[in-house]
Amino acid sequence: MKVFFRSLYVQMIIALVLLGVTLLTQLFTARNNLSTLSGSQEKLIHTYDSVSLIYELERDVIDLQRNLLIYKETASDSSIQRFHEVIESINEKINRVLDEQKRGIIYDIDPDLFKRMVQHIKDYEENFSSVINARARQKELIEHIYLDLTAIDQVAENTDKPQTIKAQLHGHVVDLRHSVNSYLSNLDPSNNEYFNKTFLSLIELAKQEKLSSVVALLKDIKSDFRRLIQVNRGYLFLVNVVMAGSANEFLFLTKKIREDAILKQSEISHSAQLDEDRVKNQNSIISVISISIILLIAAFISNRVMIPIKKITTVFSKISKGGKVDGIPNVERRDEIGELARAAELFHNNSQLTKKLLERSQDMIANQEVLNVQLEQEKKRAELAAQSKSTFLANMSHEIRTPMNGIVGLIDLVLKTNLNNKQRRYLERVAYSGKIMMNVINDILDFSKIEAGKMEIESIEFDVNQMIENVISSIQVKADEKDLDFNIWVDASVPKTLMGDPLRISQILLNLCSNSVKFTDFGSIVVKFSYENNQLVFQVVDTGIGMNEEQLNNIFESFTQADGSISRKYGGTGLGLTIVKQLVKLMEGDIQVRSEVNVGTQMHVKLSCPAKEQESLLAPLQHALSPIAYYSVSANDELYYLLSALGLPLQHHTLDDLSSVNHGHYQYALINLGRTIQDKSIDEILARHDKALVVLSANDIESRDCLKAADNVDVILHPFSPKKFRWFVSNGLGIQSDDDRTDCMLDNFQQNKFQGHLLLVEDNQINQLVAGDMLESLGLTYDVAEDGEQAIERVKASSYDLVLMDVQMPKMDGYTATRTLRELGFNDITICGLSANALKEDLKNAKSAGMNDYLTKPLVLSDLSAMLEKYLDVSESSNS
Amino acid sequence: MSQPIDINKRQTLSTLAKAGAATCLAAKAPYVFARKKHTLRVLGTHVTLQEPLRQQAMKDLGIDVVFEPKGSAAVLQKASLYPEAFDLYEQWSNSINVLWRSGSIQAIDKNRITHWNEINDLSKTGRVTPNAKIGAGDAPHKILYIQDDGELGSQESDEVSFLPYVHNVDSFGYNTQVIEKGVPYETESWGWLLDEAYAGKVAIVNAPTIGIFDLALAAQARGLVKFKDIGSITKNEMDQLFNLLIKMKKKGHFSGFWTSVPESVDFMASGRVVIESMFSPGVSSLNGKGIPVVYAAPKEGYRAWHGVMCLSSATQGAAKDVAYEYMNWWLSGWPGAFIARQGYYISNAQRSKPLLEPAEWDYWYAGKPATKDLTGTDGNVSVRKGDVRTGGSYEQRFGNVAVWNTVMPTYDYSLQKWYEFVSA
Repeated sequence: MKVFFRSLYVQMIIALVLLGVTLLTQLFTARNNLSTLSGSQEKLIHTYDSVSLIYELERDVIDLQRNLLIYKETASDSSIQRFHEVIESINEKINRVLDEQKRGIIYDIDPDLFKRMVQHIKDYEENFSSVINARARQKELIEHIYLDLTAIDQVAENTDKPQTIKAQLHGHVVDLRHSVNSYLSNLDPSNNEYFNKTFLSLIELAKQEKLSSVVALLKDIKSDFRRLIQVNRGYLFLVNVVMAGSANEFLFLTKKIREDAILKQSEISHSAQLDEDRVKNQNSIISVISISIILLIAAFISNRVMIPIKKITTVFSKISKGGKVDGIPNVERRDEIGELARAAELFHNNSQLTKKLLERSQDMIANQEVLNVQLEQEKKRAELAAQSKSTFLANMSHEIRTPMNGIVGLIDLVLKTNLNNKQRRYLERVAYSGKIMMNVINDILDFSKIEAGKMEIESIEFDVNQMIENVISSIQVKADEKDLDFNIWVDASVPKTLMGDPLRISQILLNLCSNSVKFTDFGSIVVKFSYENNQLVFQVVDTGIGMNEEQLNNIFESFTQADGSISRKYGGTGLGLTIVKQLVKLMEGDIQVRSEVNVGTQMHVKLSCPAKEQESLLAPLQHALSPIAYYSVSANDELYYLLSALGLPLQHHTLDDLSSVNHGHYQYALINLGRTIQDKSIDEILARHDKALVVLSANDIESRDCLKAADNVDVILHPFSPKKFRWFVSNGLGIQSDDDRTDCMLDNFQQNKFQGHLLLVEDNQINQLVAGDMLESLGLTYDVAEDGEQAIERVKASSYDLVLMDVQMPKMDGYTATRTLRELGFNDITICGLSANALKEDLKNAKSAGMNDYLTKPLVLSDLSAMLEKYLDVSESSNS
Repeated sequence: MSQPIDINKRQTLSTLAKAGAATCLAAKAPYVFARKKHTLRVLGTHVTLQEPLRQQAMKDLGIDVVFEPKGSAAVLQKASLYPEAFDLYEQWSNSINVLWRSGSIQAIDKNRITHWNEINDLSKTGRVTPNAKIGAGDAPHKILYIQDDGELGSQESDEVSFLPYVHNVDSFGYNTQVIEKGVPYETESWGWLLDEAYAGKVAIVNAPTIGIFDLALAAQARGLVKFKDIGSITKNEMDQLFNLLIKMKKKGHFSGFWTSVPESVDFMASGRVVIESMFSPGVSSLNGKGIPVVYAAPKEGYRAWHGVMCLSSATQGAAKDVAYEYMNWWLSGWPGAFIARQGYYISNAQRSKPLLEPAEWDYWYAGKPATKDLTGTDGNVSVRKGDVRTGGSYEQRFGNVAVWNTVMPTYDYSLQKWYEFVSA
């Protein structure tokens, strides 16, 4: 949140908002104030109006009084009219006051007071009517009195009384009239007396003169006069006392109202003034605030934005011109300017950096050139080194193997001659040592190759069975020597052919198996093959001395064996498993070891070998056989599985319960004999069946001897290759099979013999001897050439079935010779290369040179035989 | 056969019943049906025309009575000009002359007044006790009897101009919260009305025949004007008096002139005045409101008045009979007791005494201290325990009359002066 507020953008927005708010406030308050002012102004005017209303009211009442007096004097109609007009005006004003009262601004009149006021006016009006009536009455009475007086005068006139009397009468009448008038004009009580006096005199006179009519008239006049007085008094009372009282009271009340109103008015005026002041103050304050805010904002913008921007602009221009800037202002600020400053700083730094880099680059280029030159030299040197390494390896390979080959070969040859026992013994030892040495050398060379990264794994299609048979042939002997069982089991999942490097796979197998044999004193060595996920899986399980955990951890380390003492006891370089591990790695595989001391060891290997075809090594046999009795200790052993994979219907029986097997029930029997055998049982079994196929362990000589005698028994010894077994079974059960018979061998080691005349091209005399001997054992004849040139001569001269061409020769090496021969047109002749190297490129070279095949030295008879088999015919007299 | 009730009949009946009820209400009396007598119209002032009296009269007499109370001036005016507008006229004695001379009233046969003999001597001889002063002016006894010549005089005869009933002495009332309570007959003086200390807080009754005397007594008390006969003020004396008064009015000494008792009460209660001419019920009412107004007993003496009940000259026959009934009812006891609680005396007090509690009689008539709180006719406590009626007993008070309300010879002149005074 804090970060948010540090942003200049946000601050600007806030400032602008603040400004906006201030302006709005100003606007708002200005409007408010205006309305307040105009309101109070209005109010004030209103109060003036209200107060003046009261004044008018009072004035009207006074007018009323005045009018009343006028009427009293004149009894004029206009004054009556005027009176009513004024009354109306008063009433209207009273109503206005009442309305004003409702608004409650200025009047706060007690309603009772109001009622009284209204009542007074009403009374006044009523009383005025009475006055009018009274006045009328008065007039009537006066008129009546005058009439009567006139009548008296007339009577007096008309009488026949003496003049003096008449004069008296007349005089009195005049006086009387006068008294009435004067009474009316002023209210002096003396006028009353005057009247009375005059009246008495007149009435006396009238009575004296017996003027009865006059007396009557006079009495009339008296009563009228009395009434007149009464009426006069009455209406005077009304006017002077009652109405005056009402008016006075009314004025008192209005005065009260007026005074209150004026007070209120001054209050309102005062408050209006206060409002005005307040408004003024408010305005001033807000204006001041607004201006301050504006100034602040301006200062803010200028200070925080404009100036820094200017500074940074200067900095940038300086930097862009390439100058150096000491310090960039405002770097520490946390807002946009700060960012800009930091960007500028960065820019500056970068620019500096760039300059430095440029300088350094230039230096570096200079250096680089020097280095490049050096590098070139080093590269050349490295290349040379690598090359020399390869050459070394190749040479070493060749240099070491060739004499070794010679040694081993010659010793073999010697052993084939007649020797005395001692010599034989000694030479056998030499041979043995030689073999061991060869192994060691091979290991070392392989290891070196791998270390040098020169080990290449081939990916060719190879025959699995062939490989297995190679393993069998190598290991079987060793196992036999130690009297160990050696069994090989192949799962139906394993295809006939696989893509991979058969040589190296064999190497692994051989290594592991020979290790097992080495470290197992009694028991068995079992190899199981299976295939899954494009991987060839095999296990080598022995019942040897086993290893503990510590030993397990170390076995794959180079140069270590399980422990140092082992090499003393068991011999070996300690490289074997290392190589195996490396090879497994190179073949994208995996190797696991499990072991228990004095129980045994399991080696579990997986190798990546894609299969081109899926045809299983153990393809089922096509047959129409009825169930075969299967005799074995347990029902579901490997043999049972194997036989099932071949599609044979089996019925298991143990060797003990023969009673369940009836004679002739099963035609065939398959017997899996363990070590145990009893004469009797075997005979019994054999008696029940037409034919029996027996599987024996290689060491089981007793059983073999037993069974040799029987004629309806076929025997096969462990270990056997799948193909061999298949052929064994199909042959034994009389099933047609497509196996090539020549691939298989029964329990005797048969060796093929060939027909043909070969050319052996080899410069080394020892090797010549060795190879030649081999060829002879294979039933072949041969010629020898010592180098390439000689070879060409020979080929030109004679025809050969096959040429064995050594690669490393002086004068002309094998490749060149081959090439030359091919160039010369000898394309049909089979040329097989012989080399101490087994590098892939050697094969490539061989092929490109024109060679048909390739063998590695030291020559192995079986390899030679296998190769020759491809190109030569087998001799008919192959059995020996 | 049971038939459904005739709706129309029911409606008619209900309408009739409503109408009947309406008429009942209109009559304002619960016993309208019984009599069909003349509705008695009584014109008078608030003093005697009080609603409870009317109700009681109607109840006791079984007749409709209509009161028309007005301010005295208006009453007098109306009465004197239109006798046909009323049957009985209640006023005070100062109006008698006017009324008699104007012919508005007729003589009352004293023999038809049942309790005539119970009426005390005050109205007959003018003295309540043998030693009592006879106040100046129109003492009632001087205008009671109708003389042979048709004038009113003190010579006893069978015909009287009025029925003596309610009477009292008046003075002025003052608010003891403002003016310190004085000593009756010693310090209390009419002169206080004109005391400049109370300027602007004085009110006078708006009736020349009464107010003039209050002011005259006040002026005389302060030695500002001397009167030969205060009951018959001369023109010159009048001029003198009014010159003084008008001057004072101009200075604003007088706050107002009240025309009715309620108005006088209001003046004092609202604080408009602290001293004013007052009538007794006004004082009672103020005391009942909790305002401690004292009715003074001025050392110069009281201004007395006598209520007059006159018979309209226009009332004849059955109406006249009803009028006599009403007149007799007034002297029958209850009314006297009623008005006693307002401080008025009745001419035959003996008859009313049994209807008053001893404490009441003692306070109101005997001038003794109240032995307990006494309530007025409005239900409020108007007399606290221990209070003594100012002026003392009936005899004491009526033995100290300075002047009677009078219509003087200079009455008409006084009207003019009065006008000037009020309008100043």
